[in-house]
This record gives sequence, structure tokens and C-alpha cells, in this order.
Amino acid sequence: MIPGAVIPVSVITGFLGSGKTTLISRVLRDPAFARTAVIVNEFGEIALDHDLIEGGDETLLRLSTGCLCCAVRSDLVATLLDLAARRAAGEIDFVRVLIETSGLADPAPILHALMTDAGLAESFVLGSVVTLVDSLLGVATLARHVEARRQVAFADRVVVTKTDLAPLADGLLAAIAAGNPVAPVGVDVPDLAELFQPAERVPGDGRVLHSEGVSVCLIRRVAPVPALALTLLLEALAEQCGARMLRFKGLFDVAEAPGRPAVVHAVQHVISPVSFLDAWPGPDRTSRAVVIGMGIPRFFPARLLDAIGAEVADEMRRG
Amino acid sequence: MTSEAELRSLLIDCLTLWEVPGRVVAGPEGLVVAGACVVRAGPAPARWLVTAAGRTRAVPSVVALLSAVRRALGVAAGVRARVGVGAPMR
Repeated sequence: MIPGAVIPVSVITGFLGSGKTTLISRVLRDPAFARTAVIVNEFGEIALDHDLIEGGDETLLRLSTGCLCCAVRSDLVATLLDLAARRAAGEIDFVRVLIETSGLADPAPILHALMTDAGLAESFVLGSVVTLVDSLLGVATLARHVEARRQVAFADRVVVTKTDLAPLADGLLAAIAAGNPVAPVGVDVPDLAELFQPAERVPGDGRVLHSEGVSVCLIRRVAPVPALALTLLLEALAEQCGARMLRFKGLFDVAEAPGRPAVVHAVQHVISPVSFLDAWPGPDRTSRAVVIGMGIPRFFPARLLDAIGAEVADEMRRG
Repeated sequence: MTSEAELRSLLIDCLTLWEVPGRVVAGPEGLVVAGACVVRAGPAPARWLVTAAGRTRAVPSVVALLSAVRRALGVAAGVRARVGVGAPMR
């Protein structure tokens, strides 16, 4: 990676005991990933996870003033900016950043901090949100703890861990898919290079399952969507769904940009700037999006787009 | 133009989202939402008319309509979308 290039930041999350620290340690032991800066968030005064991670040096940083999702977002941003400055000055060298959240963390505020601080835009890009799920306890954890379900819902990738201790539990993959039908699921830590590749965030084949409290809503449209309709849809979803909307991931055939599909991401009400691909990634050229949330009526996003689209089309006809 | 049936489905979804008990009932004067306001199609340029507490307001779009109904039902204002200026998702 060339000096000054944009650094991908990946977030490693997962419930208590899901194997986050073990994964980070493996990353740091792998020579191919030696140039990795790690920010470990611990909830408590004793930095146990920090001590358990081998291979740490000045690019292993600890935030223990509180849970990242609650209290130390500004610390996170300051830490990243400091890392970028030291890297630019040649004091340290790294080509990626991993943030390990505490086991009870809600990923949304962490992602918001990364997405909304203008100072980070020059140096960093969001990589993957990787959520770990324990093979042994995962089914029960997902059933009992809303934090665990939210962590899965936010994931770009899910990794089932500890299959060396227990075989893959019945129903675990279904429980994960129910909470996030879009994220690919790997069993045990797959190839690290693949794990931290930029996430494939394009909605897939439209499978719809449901987990308790988690709603997965799909939108699919054959006709191109006017840019105005898409903008109004995102604004209205943010306003009406509020914190219920966890992730919005979409690929849209925008009427004003034929042949250049628009990639749309949002984390709750914060929308990442839309990027346009040079071409469709496959033969499917229909607009499609998935809305993952808590308690969102299944057809609400699609109905909303229909209503908005009808009005925008009407206005366009009127000229 | 969104039909009354389509609008009713959308408003029912909104009641769920806003955790407002009640129904959306089609009547001669329009759609009665949770017994607190009435929505009906309006003449251009207003697309919709919302009547609550004896006062009728014209709204120009379904997005504005949902906001108006939300206010009429006493639901706290929703969050505004924000475009991130930090690290982008690609």
C-alpha cells in the first residue's frame, strides 16, 4: 500500500466469549498481517484482553474508559487521527486497522463515529464489520440477548467460532441467517485475507427469514428508480423507523445514471455517500435493497418506495 | 397516485412503528387514523389533506403526510437522515 493511501478499518464484534481476542491474536501472529493496528475496547479498568493479545507494540492500543458504543466515541476518533498522523510522519507503519469491540457493544455508534467525522475521510475507509458467533453457545445467546442479535444484524460477515470445541449446533446457521440474510457466514476463522477484504454489501437472492425482534425487509424493482425517489425513501425511512433501522444495503438502477448501479449504505439514520459502480456486478440488473431492523413491518420499505415513486413519477409527467 | 388501500397499508405499518395502538378505518370522509385524524386525497398541488383537532392541513407528498399524521398523533418527531462525511463505506 502506498504511503498516504486510504486505510481500511474493520470492526470485530461478537458477544462475550465469542473469540474476538483469539482472532485478533491470530491476526497479529500472521506475518502477512503484521502491519495491522489494533484498537481494543474493554469495558472495565483491567485491560485483560489487551494483555492477552500477543505481539502488541505501539500499534496495539487500548481504550478502556468505557464501552465504545456508549462513552468513548471521541476517544476512538482521536485515536484513529493520531494513528494517521503518526503514520504520515513515518513513526509507525500499518496498512489496516482492526477495532475489537467489547462483548456487549452495539456496533451502530461505533460505525456512526467512523462515518460522520470528516477528519477521518482522508485517511480511512470502512472495511468489514465482522461478527463472531460461538458455535457452542450461539443459539442460546442469540435467543436471549438482543445485543447479540444486533451484532449479527450489523455484520458484513459472520464467523462461527469454536467449532473445534463443539460441532456446529443445530439451528445456528438458521438463527444467524434469520438475523442477517445478507452477510456471508464462515465456519471457524477462514482465510484472513478474505475476512478483511472490503465487504460484499450487495443484497443477494432475497431469502427472508425472521429472528425474534429482527426484521428483514426486501425491496426489489425492475424499473429504474429516480434519484429523487431514492433520496426521499432514505429520508423517510430514517424519520419513521428511527433507531429501529439498523442497516440499509442497496444496489439501485438509478434512472439518471443508466448502467452505473448506485451502492447505498446506511447505518441507522446515517447514510454513507452513494457510490456508483462502473457496471452491474452480475446479470441481475434489478434494483434491490435489504433493510435489517428491529420491529419494522416487513413490507413498509417497499410500500413507502411505491408511494414515493408514484408521486415522483407523477411530478415528472407534469414536467 | 397512491390508492386509498395502499395508503391504508402504509399508515397501518406506521402505527406499528410508532407504537400507537389503534386502527386505520376507511370511512366516507377518508381514512380515520387511530381515531385521532382523518386523511384524504386533496386537490393539486396538495396531494393530501390531514384533519386533526378540527383543523385541516394540506400536505404536498406522502413523506410530508406521514410527518403530519405523526404529529397529529402526538408521536415525537423522527430523526433526520444524515449523510456521513467521515470514512465512507464502499
